[in-house]
Amino acid sequence: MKVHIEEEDKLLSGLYYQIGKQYAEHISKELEDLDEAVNQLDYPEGLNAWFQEFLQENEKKEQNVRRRKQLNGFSRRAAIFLIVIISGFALTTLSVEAFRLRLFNFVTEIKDQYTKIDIKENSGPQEENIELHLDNTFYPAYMPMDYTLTESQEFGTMRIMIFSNKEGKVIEIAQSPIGTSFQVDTENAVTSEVEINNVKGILIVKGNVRTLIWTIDQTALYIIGQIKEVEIIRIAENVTFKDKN
Amino acid sequence: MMLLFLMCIENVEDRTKLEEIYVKYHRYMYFIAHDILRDPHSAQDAVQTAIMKVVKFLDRINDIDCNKTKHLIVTIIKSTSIDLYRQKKKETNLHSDLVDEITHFQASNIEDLVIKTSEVHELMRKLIVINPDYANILTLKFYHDFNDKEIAQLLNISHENARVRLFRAKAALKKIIGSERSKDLEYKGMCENEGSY
Repeated sequence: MKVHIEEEDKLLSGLYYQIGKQYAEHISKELEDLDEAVNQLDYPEGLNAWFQEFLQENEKKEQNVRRRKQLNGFSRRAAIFLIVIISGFALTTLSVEAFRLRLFNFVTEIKDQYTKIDIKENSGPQEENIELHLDNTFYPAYMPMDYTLTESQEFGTMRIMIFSNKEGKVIEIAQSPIGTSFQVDTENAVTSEVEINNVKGILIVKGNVRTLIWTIDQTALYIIGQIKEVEIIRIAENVTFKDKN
Repeated sequence: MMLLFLMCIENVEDRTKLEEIYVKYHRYMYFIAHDILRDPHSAQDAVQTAIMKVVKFLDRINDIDCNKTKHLIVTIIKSTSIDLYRQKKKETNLHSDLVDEITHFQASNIEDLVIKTSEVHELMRKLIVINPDYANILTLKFYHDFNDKEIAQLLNISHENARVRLFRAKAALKKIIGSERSKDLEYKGMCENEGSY
């Protein structure tokens, strides 16, 4: 009996398809016949506003998901090292080792997969509970075409600004007082020194994602994004103090 | 409803597609919902819920303006509105076709089921007369190629209910074909008898 039904179903699948096709046509005609009546019915404009909001919500969620994926990729196999920045350091032609010891005091506590970057002031007594004055915000005067500020978040003394473009790509800029820890993925990454407005910084390249860490006065900053080296440096060089007012 | 907001439209193309669907069909959707619910606020709720449901099936929509898409949109808004109507009436989740008189299906002779393409339209019309839900579920299953789970989602019915409805739709169609064949044979017999005189 079951076999018979299955055979019959196979035989009739063409007919079922044709019935479906005819029914869809029938519904389509019915819909077209509604034209006049549809236009006569008052349509709530609130529905259009809701739909726009719905699309925007989705767009934001999509960006968040992408950013989270990007950041997760970074922290998955991250290594942790400690950097102690000596205030007023003059970095010129030093080896990586010297750079670590003398200037940043990179105390590398490289664990299996994680490395922590602690940026600390090395000279003089350190103030406890360093606060980030939000009216002393550093802001990039230059951003690649299409990127606009879409989100700004604060985590304790750290402020993170997220710039996104229409393709959903993001560039994240974080700033915090010297003394804050950053987690950076250094596994299989290429690390090099760069100079940002006569101050040494670290550029970490992993795949097509670049991270740049440097300081301005008493503030440590990093930029992360899928951007070219020339662009990330240009953004960093154009980060300027922005008055709240 | 807010939980559905957690769904994320995955890319720009999908958002554009949804926007095009909305622009083309939102007034029709509202009209159909209003026709069923007879209340502007409930109709608005139904359209919103239906739009969010459309998101789940965006990958199945290729051409915004084809009959297939029109049928899908109409199915979604109708089932959403009916579901909302039932909720508002505080009806239990009994679906009409489950409490209908059971259509007993007698396995037909395969030869009797062979039909001409020209007869399809008439069969479809007769199936609509028996129960439009039957024509609809056959369309979703065999024209759109949705699986039972997707059909259940689209029609706001249980998986089991979808299977039962599909079985009955096929049975009803076969019954129609069977009765058409009987008429043909009757007519043929009458002609033969006339000839013998």
